[in-house]
Amino acid sequence: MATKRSILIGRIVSTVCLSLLAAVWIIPIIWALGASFKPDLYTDTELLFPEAEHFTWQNYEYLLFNGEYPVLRWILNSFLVASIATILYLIIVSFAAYALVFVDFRFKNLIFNIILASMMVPGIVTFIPMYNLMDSFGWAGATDATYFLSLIFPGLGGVFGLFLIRSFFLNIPKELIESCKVDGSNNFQIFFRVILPVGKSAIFVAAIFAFLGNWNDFMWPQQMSIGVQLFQPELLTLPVGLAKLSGAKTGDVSPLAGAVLSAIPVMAVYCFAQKYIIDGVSRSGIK
Amino acid sequence: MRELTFEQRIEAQKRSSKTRSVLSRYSTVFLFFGPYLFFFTLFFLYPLIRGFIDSFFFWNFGDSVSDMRFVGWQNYQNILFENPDFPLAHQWFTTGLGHTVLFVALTVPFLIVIPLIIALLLNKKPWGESFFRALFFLPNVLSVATVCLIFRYVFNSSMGLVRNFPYQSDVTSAWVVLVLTTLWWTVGNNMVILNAGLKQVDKSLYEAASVDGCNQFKQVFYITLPQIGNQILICTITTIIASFNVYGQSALITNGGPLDATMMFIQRVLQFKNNPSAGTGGAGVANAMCILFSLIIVVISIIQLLLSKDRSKTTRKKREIKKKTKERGI
Repeated sequence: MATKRSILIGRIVSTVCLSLLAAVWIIPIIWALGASFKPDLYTDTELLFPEAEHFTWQNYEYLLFNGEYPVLRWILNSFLVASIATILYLIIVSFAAYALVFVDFRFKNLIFNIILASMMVPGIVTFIPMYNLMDSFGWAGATDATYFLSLIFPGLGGVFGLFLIRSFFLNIPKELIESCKVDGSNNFQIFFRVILPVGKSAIFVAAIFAFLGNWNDFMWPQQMSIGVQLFQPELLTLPVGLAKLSGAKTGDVSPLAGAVLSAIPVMAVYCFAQKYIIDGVSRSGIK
Repeated sequence: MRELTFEQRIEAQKRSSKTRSVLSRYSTVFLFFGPYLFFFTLFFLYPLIRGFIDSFFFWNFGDSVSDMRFVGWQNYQNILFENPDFPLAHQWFTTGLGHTVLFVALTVPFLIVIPLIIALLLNKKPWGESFFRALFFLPNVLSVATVCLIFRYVFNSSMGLVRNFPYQSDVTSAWVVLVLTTLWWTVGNNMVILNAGLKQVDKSLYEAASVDGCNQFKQVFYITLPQIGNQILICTITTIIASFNVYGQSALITNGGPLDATMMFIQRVLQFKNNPSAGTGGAGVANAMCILFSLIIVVISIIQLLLSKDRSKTTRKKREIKKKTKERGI
């Protein structure tokens, strides 16, 4: 009886504490949402939401229809770049994971350990040579859409998705593959008919992480788009565009509307894939 | 034509099928693994080695290879010891690294303790458990640009929600705003990892402890924390490394200010590329700075590997002892 009561007390206490903390966490979002509907940030800032007479869509109208900060176009660019990069990455990585798990070849362990060790190296170390490489391809600082190539390709050597898919493939019994081989299937047939249907969920999780990582990337696109920033701001990706917007001295538009618009697509992804995302993160801690 | 015996024929067949299978296996490896290996080599191994080599040269961005001049350890000397001919190398490295280390020291403890508290509370099975978990994780999926744009205005001293941190003029306020923004943004990640660890803790341990008269607070320190030691270790190391790589927050909220007081290491490296006043020969110096920076992080990662190996050894020993006692029927 006593334990039952203590469990109940624990539930009540934790619910109360978490509710208070959750309020702190959610207030910046609510405040930003409210402020994005105010005609001018200087008015009514004490309230979370603007009073009815001050409520306005003008910030959104400005961002959507005035060409100075084409937020919709930036969202489209980000979506295009992130989807292409994600699809290419998944194709390359799921084949590679298959080879790492089900095919034996010389130096496999050595190559795998090098790939593993690469996770320790901070990204900034390869930044300068990568910049020069992109420059020699004519991609970095290009003033047209060719600079998108510098956002799509470098990520294809990434490690995270490979590990995620590999760790899932490791759980598929090898006997399954062996029996398929005895039946006369080659590796391609096995990959498409057996492994892909079984590994769908792992590949889906890897896709979400690849997409979000690419969508949210800031430093690399910022440095790659220096030419575009000056001459063709409509070709920016969303985070770089937002940085431009947040630095703008705008009297007649609240940049917070841009923050809200930029959050909508990821929030949508998060709503339907929340379970997979949290599952993927929690798996990264259990090794 | 010489007749082959039956055994010889079998042997030959075996050999040819063996070479064929080896060939087909390598063509499979080439087709399956080749593309990834190509991109990994081109976009990771090559830049890594090239960056190391380039750090021994005097050169500028946009130089062709023939313009580069070998200077040995000169770039490293300029960084580690003050050189009046190139004072910025030492100055930017030490201040940039110093600010980054300060950022690590200010954020990492909170980024372990707060997620741990939330995870422990979630483990008490509150009503709406999965809602709370989803809410605290939510900021994680937002881009650094979105988060910083919001917090620039939340902490704006004339029109924001919280007006007593004038981060554009006051150094302490700038650090407070950077740390709070980072906490709000990334607490969810470690919370999810620690929460998953808590779920794996054997419930019978708590029952045994409460039978022995151990109260709930004692249980946290004597049972829960040691049981999720591995997760805490992983979180600590990955958080340290992530905090070392800070860039977006200081670039977007404080822009390194006030008066360069929050200028981080990565911003300094980028300044060698983008800021003409950084002086000539900056590219080689920037490369050498990055190599030194990565050494620090590699050392941290190796410490992690050693610690986690040590831990897994002790847990394996514990398990063996348990097994033996079971076998003996105790």
